[in-house]
Amino acid sequence: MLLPWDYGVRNLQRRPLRTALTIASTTLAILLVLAVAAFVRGLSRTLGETGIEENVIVYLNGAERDLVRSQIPNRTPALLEASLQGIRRREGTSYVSPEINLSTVVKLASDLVQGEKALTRLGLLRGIMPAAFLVHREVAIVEGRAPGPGEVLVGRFVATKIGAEGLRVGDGVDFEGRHWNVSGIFAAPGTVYESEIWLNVEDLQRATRLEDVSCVVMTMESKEKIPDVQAFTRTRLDLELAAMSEREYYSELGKQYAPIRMLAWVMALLVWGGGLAGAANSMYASVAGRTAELGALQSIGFVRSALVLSLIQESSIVAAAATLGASAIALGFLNGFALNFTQGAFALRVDGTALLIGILTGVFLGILGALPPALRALKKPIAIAIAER
Amino acid sequence: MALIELRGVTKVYSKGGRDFAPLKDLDLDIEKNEFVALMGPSGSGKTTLLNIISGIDKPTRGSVRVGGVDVPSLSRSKAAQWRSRAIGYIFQRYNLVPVLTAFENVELPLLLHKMSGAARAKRVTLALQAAGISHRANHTPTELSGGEEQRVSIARAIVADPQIIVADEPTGDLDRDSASAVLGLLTRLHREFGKTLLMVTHDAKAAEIAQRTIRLQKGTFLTPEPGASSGNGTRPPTPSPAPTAAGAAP
Repeated sequence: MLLPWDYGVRNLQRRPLRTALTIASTTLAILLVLAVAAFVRGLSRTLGETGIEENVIVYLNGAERDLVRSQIPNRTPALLEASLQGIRRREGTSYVSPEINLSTVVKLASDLVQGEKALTRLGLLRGIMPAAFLVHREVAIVEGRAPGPGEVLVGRFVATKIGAEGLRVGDGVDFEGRHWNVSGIFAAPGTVYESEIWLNVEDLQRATRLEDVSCVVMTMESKEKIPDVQAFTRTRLDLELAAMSEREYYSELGKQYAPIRMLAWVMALLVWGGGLAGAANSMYASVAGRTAELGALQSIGFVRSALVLSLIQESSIVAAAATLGASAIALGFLNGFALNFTQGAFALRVDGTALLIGILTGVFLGILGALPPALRALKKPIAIAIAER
Repeated sequence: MALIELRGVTKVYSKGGRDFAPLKDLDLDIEKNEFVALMGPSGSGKTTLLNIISGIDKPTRGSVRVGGVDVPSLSRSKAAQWRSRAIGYIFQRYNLVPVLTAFENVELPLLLHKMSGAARAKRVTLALQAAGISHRANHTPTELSGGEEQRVSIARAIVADPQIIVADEPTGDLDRDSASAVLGLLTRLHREFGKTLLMVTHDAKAAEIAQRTIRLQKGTFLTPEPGASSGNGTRPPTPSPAPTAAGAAP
């Protein structure tokens, strides 16, 4: 038989300041674990979910899957369109998007005033044609319009990527020796595109004096058609092309970040360990003065397992309060918070999995934090325990 | 057959590599409804004997049978279950749970028995009344005087209607008036409710209320002192117990 629920609750009220500090430190530990989970989930989602199943990227064979290093002739898109069967077409338009991927220094109006003292902002540019909106159908313009000559369309996280406070329609940016106006803002939730600056491919070619494109992105009628494209690139060795499913491309890219994710989890584990030590320390302090009380309860007839459960219950109340607090803070302040990384920017994602990790952290802190002090306190012979002052 | 029967009970502790024996080869019989006082200097083994009888401690050698139960053979959890039915323990320092009210403290032993909330409340009320502390039922121990706390402790010891009440220096921390009231209460438990009482005390006056006084020294019983009205082996007649109220001990 367990002790009354009230016993645990009222024990926490014995020393309200200590209870409040324990809740605060446990909240912090859970919050840090949640932040790591949100970081990993956000990064994984961005790299894992970018791309459409039926899309294939054709790029320079030998570019080692790095689109920025890839250069293929301007005529390649037309060649592919003419040579391949199974490319999706709608109302006479082929889903073939020649694109330029470029990483370059971007300056804001304020940077021009500061001169050399200005922050170096590295932006990710994508030169596009209207077909880009067909093949990248997850992209939607949420404000303004598609870019015309001398204009750029910016993703929601571009400001985060280049370290700016924000970019609005009508703002100006400078790169490749030219000034560009922001014509619109686009969203593409959970993809790397949101940290890119899109502009007309010909505009970009003129500005950079490039005559080639980086890659061609095509939407096939089904994902089963992608091997045909790969077979074509393997057959036409003279074109020096390689093809890869868009999903696979970004998934491979994500694997490069496995060490970072691992490091993040190691940090979370260390934080968790710290939280556990803190929770155990609080419970040690809490039960240290209750040895005689616990001895008396045993002499009345309560078995040790009932008392251990009661102490776990007490510690779990703290952990539950901390979990709720940490989850509320994470959902309110961390969720959606944009972070910069080399491939762009991504939003922290406090999703069901991240919350589950936070809850499990709280549960384990509650149980494991109480176990050592409870077992230690109850290990003492009853006869000695009841005599303690 | 005696209610409490000890044969050859020896308890040896090891401390700092040295053995010492607070109890040495003791034999003791305590009959049902008997009130026994256990006296002796500090370290003579009184509390150890009390703890062994109530299953809180185990003897190193010897047998302990209480109500026919071989107490040392019980596992820790079985001993706890047996204690919850058979023994009411009164501590010198009351050992009440500070975060619970007097009522809730007294209710604790009943939580170990299958009983409805209403039945529990009725028995707790009766126990508090019997201990003369029902007017303080909703107070926590910090709001009670020492005498009041000890009354709550007594109510807690009798609420589950155990046959045996063990009291370890129940008046040790009390002033004279409170001590007198507590001793009066213990006498009532014995006389009116027919409980078997085993009380450790340093106070010779407190021991006078018992039917028999056992003196311990260095782990062995002393023979009755000349002129003493009681001692090991002399046993006055046991009073008849009064009927219990509403099925509860009090």
